[in-house]
Amino acid sequence: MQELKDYSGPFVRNIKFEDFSKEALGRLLQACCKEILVLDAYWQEQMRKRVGEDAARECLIENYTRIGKHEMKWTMEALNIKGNDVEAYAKANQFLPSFAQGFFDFDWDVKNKNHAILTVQRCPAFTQFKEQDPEKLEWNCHVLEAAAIKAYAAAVNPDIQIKALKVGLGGKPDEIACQWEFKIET
Amino acid sequence: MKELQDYSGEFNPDLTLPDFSKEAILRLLVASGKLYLGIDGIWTGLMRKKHGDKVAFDYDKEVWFSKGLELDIRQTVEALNIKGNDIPTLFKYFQFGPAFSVIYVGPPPNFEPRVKFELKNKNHGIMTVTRCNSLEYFERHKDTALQKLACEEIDLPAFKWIAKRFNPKIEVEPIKLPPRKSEDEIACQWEFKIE
Repeated sequence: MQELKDYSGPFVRNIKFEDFSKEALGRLLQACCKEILVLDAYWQEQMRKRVGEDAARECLIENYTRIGKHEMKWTMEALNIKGNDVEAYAKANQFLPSFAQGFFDFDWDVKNKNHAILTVQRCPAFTQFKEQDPEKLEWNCHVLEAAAIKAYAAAVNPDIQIKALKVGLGGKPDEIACQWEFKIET
Repeated sequence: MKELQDYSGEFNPDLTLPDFSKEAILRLLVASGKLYLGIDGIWTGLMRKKHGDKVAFDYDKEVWFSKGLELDIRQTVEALNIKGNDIPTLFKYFQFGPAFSVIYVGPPPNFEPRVKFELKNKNHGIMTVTRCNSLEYFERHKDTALQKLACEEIDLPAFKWIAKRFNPKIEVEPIKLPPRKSEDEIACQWEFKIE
């Protein structure tokens, strides 16, 4: 069977993922990644509406600190990424569904196996909250992200130290969203 | 650059999805599907702990029925250019919706689907879930409450809701629902019909 570019043709009873082109599968993956982030936002919205902002934030932190180890494991298994150094963490981070390329623009500067800098040039939450809700942005970057990044890194190696180099609003019009340093002291 | 089968090699700052083989992208897709439902599961679990089953289950239903399902349909049909309003169109969506079939597959490299579709004609079809990760989780944890929520309070109305979204005339009936007597039984089976 020739690779399908999409599924605009007739229904195929025994169709498999591999019947699609790589590009079609990539689109499906992007769709899934987007849904992950939006579904999470819907939950926050429900919580805020029903039990208030504080409870929603508390759950949000717990959610990401709990799912972190699973997401890292699934991603590392999917791409056969082994090891427990900063480089392994950076490799998995490049393909995390909740930090998908296309929604986030980021760059990893891996200095060596135990030291790397992550620069996030564009973050949808940063763009949205910068204008609409600066207080939420500060909480998002300083509290939620700090906790989540720590949990995700710990899933690879609890000894990875994280330092925020630029987090939250800096006041410049074309500022990067954030920058983090990851290090294992040897 | 040669297609990568995985990312066991050195770090590459410029790597993007198309650099990987199809199978590697598929593995990532399955991982994403797990995360998708995993996040929902963790939110529901947190709510159960803090506010009890009823509140948690109400929240979960509202998340899916207010926006979640609509999002899932829109994202999937757009990604695969699926158009139409008959049973085959609905089945095409079910075959690749991230909240459903994506995680119901066997191991790589074949990713054998665990949801089977029998299309009798454009107006009548049967969908059989041969193995369901969620049901196996509920059975393992003996969580009957969560199983009833998922199968009867979410899936049943969700399949009806989704079907109507494609065509208001589509009727949905469960032929078989959990609980199962043994692991050899199928998880569930559904009939879709336009009279």
